[in-house]
Amino acid sequence: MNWERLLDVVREEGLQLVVQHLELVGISLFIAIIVALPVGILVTRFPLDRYAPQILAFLNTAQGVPSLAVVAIFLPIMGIGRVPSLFALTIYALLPIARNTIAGIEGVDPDVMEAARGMGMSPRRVLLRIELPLALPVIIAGIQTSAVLTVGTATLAHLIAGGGLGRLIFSGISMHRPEYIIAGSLMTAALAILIDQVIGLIHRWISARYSG
Amino acid sequence: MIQFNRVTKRYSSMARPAVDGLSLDVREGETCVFVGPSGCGKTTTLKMINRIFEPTAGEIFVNGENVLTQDQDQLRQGIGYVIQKTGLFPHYTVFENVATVPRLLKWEEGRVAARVRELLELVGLDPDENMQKFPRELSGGQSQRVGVARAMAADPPVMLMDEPFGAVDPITRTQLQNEFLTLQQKVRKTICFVTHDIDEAIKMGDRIAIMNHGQLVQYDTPENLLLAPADDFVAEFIGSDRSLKVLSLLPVRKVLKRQFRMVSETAELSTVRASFDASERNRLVVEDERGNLVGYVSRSDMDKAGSARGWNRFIKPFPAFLPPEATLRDALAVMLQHDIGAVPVMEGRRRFMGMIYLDDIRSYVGEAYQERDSDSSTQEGA
Repeated sequence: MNWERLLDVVREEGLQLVVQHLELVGISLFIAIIVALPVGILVTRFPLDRYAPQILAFLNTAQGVPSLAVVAIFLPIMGIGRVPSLFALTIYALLPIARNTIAGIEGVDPDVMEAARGMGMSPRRVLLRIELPLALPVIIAGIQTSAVLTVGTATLAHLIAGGGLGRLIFSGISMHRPEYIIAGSLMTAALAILIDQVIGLIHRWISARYSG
Repeated sequence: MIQFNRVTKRYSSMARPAVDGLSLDVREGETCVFVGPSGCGKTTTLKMINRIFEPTAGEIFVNGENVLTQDQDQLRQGIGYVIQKTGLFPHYTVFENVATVPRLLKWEEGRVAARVRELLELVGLDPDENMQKFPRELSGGQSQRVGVARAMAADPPVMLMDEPFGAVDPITRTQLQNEFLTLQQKVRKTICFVTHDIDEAIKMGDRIAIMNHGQLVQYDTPENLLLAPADDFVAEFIGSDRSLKVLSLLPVRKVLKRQFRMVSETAELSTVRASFDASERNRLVVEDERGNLVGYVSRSDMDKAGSARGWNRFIKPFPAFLPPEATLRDALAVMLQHDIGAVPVMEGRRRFMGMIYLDDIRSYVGEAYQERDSDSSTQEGA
């Protein structure tokens, strides 16, 4: 074990890999939000709303599928590289966001909903002015979970040549260089904590504004 | 104003209809209270008016127009709606909550702001103090007041109230009820009001619709309901204390004695004694020179008072007062609580209006029943 070597690794490749990693996380999270939010909303609308509890249960279970399995499943279909990596990460990031969108909207006080509809707000207006703002803290919490998960999962992208901090970890394993493994893991963990804190800050700010 | 024409509502999950062939007219400016045991269909009935529920059969007209052929949102914007747990929007300020319907109707902001102020004052909330608060900062009673203000925002002729005072403590509830009655005197809306509390129904309703198993059992004024229940169910639902409930129909304002023997606090003892001699009562009301209420003196104390002066040290203050809108029932409760035979009625904190005596209450109940009996006998004769 050579500590100087560890610092060298961080200096030489660290920044580039962190940027790559953040790209993977950022892009897949962005797409996941764009897809999961409308899907989540759709599930709470007629006629799907009747099945919302079942869909919620399915999403909770699906979250249990190991991230490695998700990456592995798409390997034979999509091959290797950046795009397949992003695709697998996006799929994995979708679940917490969709789940929390549904749970957040379903969790809006039924009396508030009845008052809103009873005063003659259109369903669209109720969604935009009442349901989404009130569900927003829960939705943000979903994005937070998703982001942290994705930072970890994105290390697997290296396995299908997607780049990112996984490269340090996996080359460390194959070359028996513990300093590589430690550098990669620490940087990934730090990134996860940082992102968690930033979104947590946004979450608290939004909760203070929209809580009931 | 609101007409039900053989309205039926069936839920697929239930064997019998929730509302079964209901026909009823609510007159303009009247408060109609729907009351009955839980599951009697009263809430369903109310919520069919603004189409939260759609009737399975029959028609409902509001102001001559069939609600089923109107645009749902437009219909609802024209009907005030108050629910039990207020349903205030937690992320909106009090101002934004009350402004909801005016903004839906695209009023310009100046008009909205003026209207919100006016309404908050109307329901007894200081606009400057409360406008920027969020619902979580309000007490239960305040929330309900905001709920009422919000429902009245666009001045709808019709208001629906679903157990509006059901979720607050008994003291606040009485207060809200009294305020609401005063308010309704001013605004004269056509109101449909749901409650499971027969006392509330008697107090609030111009007319009461008693329902059971989805059917209308009796639709009548509170007085007729109490004095002539249509059947055993109604009699039982009203309760065995219905003669006592008759008391809650009458505000003390209408029964109080304005003319009665009083003594001035500056009078001589002989004058006071003479007043007692001329009166059958054991207590006399004492007033000051300007006619304000001071308290009372009792006969036995005057017998003890030796000197001509200083009798006024025996003056005792009244332990309780009643506002003019309190009912005879309230008056009776106060009398029993303080073990007194008379209670002064005060408007505001200062203006003395008169006295309520226990005998007056007794004779009022007696008369109500006698009138009723002679009424029915003449009808039978004719």
